[in-house]
Amino acid sequence: MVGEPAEGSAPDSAAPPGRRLWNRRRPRIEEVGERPDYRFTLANERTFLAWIRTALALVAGGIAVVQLVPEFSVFSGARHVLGVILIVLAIVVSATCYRRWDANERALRLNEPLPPSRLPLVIAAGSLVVTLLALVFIVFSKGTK
Amino acid sequence: MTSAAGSDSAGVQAERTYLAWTRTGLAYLVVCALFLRRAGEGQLWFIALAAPAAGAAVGVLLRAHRRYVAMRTAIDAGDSPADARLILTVAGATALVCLTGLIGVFVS
Repeated sequence: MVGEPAEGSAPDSAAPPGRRLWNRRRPRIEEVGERPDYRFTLANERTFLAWIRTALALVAGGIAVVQLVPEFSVFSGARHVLGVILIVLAIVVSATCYRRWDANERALRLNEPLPPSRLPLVIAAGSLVVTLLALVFIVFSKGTK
Repeated sequence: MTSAAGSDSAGVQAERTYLAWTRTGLAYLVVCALFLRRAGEGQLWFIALAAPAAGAAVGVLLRAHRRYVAMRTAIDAGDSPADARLILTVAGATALVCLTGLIGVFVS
């Protein structure tokens, strides 16, 4: 499994297994496996930055929907509901993207398959919820006018 | 067409990564601008909420070129260009910006 301390001793692969009991600290990335092709490392970094931009876009969307969109007539806090959902999604992305980068980098160094991520599913589901809510708010706002 | 493993690949890869850093810095600026827009409407304390995004934007945009040089140096030397500390710092700054965004939504 990627990221477990026992896996991170590749440059020192001759170390006895008993050493793992003493060193429970997660090893630094440089200490794990061997140096991967730099193209993979840079691609991983660009993917991390893409997640960061996604988080920032969600924040910007959350702020914009509260500041720029006219109030829905369904109920007074409708815009805030959309904004809060978007920003909570952004918090989830920003809180997990480093861990994702770290897991990918360790997998690259250990020449293992990249670990799967549920983050795309979370973002897709969250976006769907926001879109459907916005649709409901728009439709019912028109109906009440 | 140049092979991906060609001698000029390092420059192209580092350049693409540099551009990704620059786009990220600009994305921070957009968030900052949204806060400052509200500050321009008289709610001056929104400047405080804009400060983390502004700081992150300036930091990323200033750091992007240094990162590019460090990437090229590491690649040319045969070292890994990974910089875990920088990645962690950016992730933390983004989390802070997200929290300020949440505060901004609640007080709007």
